[in-house]
Amino acid sequence: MNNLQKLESKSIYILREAYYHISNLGMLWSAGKDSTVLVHLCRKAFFGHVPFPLIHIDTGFKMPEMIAFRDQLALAWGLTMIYSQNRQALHDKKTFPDKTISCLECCKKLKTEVLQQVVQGKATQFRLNHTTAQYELDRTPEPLGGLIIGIRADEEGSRSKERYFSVRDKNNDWNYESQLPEFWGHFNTEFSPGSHIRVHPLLDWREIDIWQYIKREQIPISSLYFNKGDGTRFRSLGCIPCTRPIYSAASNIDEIVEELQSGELANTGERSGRAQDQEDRGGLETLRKGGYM
Amino acid sequence: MKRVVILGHVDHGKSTILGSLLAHTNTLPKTKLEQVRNYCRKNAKPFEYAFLLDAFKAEQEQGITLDVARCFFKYKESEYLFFDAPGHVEFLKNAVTGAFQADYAIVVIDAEEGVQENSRRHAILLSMMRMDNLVVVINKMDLVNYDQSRYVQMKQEYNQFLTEHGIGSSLFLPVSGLVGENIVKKTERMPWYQGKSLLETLEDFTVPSSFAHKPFRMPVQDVYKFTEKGDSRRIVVGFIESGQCQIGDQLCFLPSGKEAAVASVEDFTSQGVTQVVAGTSGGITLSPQIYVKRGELAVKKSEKKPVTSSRIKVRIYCLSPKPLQKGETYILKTGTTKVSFSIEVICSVLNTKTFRYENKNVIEQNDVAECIFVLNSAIAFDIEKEFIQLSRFVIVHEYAIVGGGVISQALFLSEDQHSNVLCEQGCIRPAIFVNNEKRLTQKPFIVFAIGGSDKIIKKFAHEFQNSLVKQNRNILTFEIDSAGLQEQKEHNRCVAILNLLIAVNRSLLCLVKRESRDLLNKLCDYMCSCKVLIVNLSQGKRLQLQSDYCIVSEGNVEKLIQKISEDLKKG
Repeated sequence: MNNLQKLESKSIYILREAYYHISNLGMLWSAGKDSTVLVHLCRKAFFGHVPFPLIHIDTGFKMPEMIAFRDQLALAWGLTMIYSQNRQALHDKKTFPDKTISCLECCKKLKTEVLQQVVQGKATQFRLNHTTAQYELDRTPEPLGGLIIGIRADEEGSRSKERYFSVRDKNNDWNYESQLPEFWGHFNTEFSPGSHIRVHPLLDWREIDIWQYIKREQIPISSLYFNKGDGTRFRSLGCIPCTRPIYSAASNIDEIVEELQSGELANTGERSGRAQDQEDRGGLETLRKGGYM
Repeated sequence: MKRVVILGHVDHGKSTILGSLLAHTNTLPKTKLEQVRNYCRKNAKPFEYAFLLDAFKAEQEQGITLDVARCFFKYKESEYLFFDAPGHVEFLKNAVTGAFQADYAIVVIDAEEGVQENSRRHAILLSMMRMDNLVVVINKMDLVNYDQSRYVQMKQEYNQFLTEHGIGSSLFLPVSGLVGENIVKKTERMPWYQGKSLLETLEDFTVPSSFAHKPFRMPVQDVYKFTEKGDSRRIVVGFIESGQCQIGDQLCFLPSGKEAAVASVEDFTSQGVTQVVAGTSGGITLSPQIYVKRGELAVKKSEKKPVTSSRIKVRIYCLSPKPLQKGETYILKTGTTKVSFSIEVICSVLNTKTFRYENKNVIEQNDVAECIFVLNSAIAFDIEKEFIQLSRFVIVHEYAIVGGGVISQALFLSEDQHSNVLCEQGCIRPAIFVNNEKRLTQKPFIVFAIGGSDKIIKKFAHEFQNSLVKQNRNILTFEIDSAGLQEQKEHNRCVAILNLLIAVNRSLLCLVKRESRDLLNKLCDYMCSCKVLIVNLSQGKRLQLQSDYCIVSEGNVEKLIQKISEDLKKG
């Protein structure tokens, strides 16, 4: 039994545990490589169905290709698709691209705060109508008991210390100093009132595992990850103003796997093109304590 | 991928060793190492590899690991997932989280400071979960001038501790994480050391294989019926812990005992799959479509069955800040089963600070204890000796996992039918007592009643006792678990108890739940100076052991007892 099979089996086990134990479950889907693998794993775990809504926190600065890719898959796979965004901040021009606040503050406003509102059922959110292929205002948003998120331990330090089932208090805060133990496939599935749970089925996957799995399962993936002739490609996808491509000639999945194996990228972190990671040593940790994914 | 945990006492250099491994094998992005160097320079701190893994700001400020970090690393053809565990006793729950997910363990001990509390405590944890693949690293050899005698002395001291606690022979090696000595390449500064470097030692580890050769075990995780797009399948899903099953196989679901055959194997991406195998998350449909639910254990009818019981002997590790005690209700989770329980007996408690057995009524944080649990309903499992994966459980209390353990034994009959005056531990215990302080001058005998359903055992025991009481004869009743007799110590204890009672003219009825010819023959051989009768209660099933009496049906019980009584009277 190879490593990919083991990873797949464990992730499916975790997804099924989450589905059994958590009422009003939702899953974050950014249309990036990791969360798209997660959607595929859901379809495997639930035999072609995805029995909970997929939620995209759309900052309004996402790459148009990603939005198009998202909607194309959502329609093809019959996914319950919801997106939400902080229209107030965008309208008031209180964003980093508007140069009125810092990068970290912007992440907090456009992502963390929106996410928190979605969890509380207080967000302005839009639901995909599969008949018209248009988004419509979701008039009855419900609070979520738990969120499945495709973070991986090898992306960044604070994520390397996460649990598969990670409890958040009612303010969405992560008390990382007092995480509960979990072992032998038994997760913390008893929740005190008011808390909600973050489920991380991809914690043990590495970047290379993700690509090898995409290849093995023939999972559709955004073309932004590939070099289209200019010698650059995105290794990690985020908002346009805060995401830089890397220099790479890899133009298909095989070449990306080859590139990762050869050690050509050994001197650059996967998220080196993401601005929020570079600020204030441990910028992502600060964000994540406050509820960021 | 090899899963390795690094354990040991606080400040003995666990993160440093791992950091050193990463740095000396060029696994790290150069920028990452540079980032840590800059940070140390700016904050006027000496450079430490530990900062690579202690990612939280709070950890770096205090120079301490708070929570277990996952860390991936590839060397030559081998891939590793390391769990860097915190060594501070306060964060033991986090160390456990790492330790119990790994297949191999490295225990790090500071050569200068010597063996400390958590060096020992972590080893006890490992022995609890039967982790035999232990490497002991004596670190900071640079601080003791790479002195061989210091190394040998520590090795002896720690080895003795391990042996005392039943942990088999372990590998020892001297290193210096900070200097990088004996981490990747074999040491030059310690020519007296002939063994391998740490990395070479890790290279010898193999990835544990799945349990494909064991009997099929699939705890039912859920049953799906998604009606979307006219889907009418009713799919039973679960992670296959061991064995395999294919279309047509007859399955049995325990504890309910329901049976059905595998009608199809469901797989979203592949057509024509006919079997599910150990180590995968599978889905099957059944024929007939019986009602099963989460918590049942699916097994194959043709293979060795697991045990079903509501009274279990366990060994636990307590992580709860609030002591566990009798009278309180807790939740036990094993496989996909969840059942409430209470502690009936606390047999022994090992304090992992003093490493002494203590006589106490509660189980405190970090104690290892042997106890008897009474469950609210029966569960299906394998005992530790049969298949450790299916004997493991966690204890949940007030929304958190507060302990873990293994089931060492299944105990029979319900709790209200016994008194614990004689012996609470082990494979033999008193079962149904009746008032029979009579005629102790009679010639004693012993009856082994073997097999049978709970119902027939109860009926036989009850009526046999009554008939003897009517005749003014005494009788004491025991249950014997033949599986427990395999252990020589238990066997001797059992023989001693039975012989002792025979010596004081007590007649005995032993209800033997599982037949084992060799063990019972041996037991009979050791029973001196009394008549031994074997009764087959299994209603028509042939015993391996020659029986004197055989119960064909329930209605047959009274008649048979009459015959036994008559024969006993004859002598």
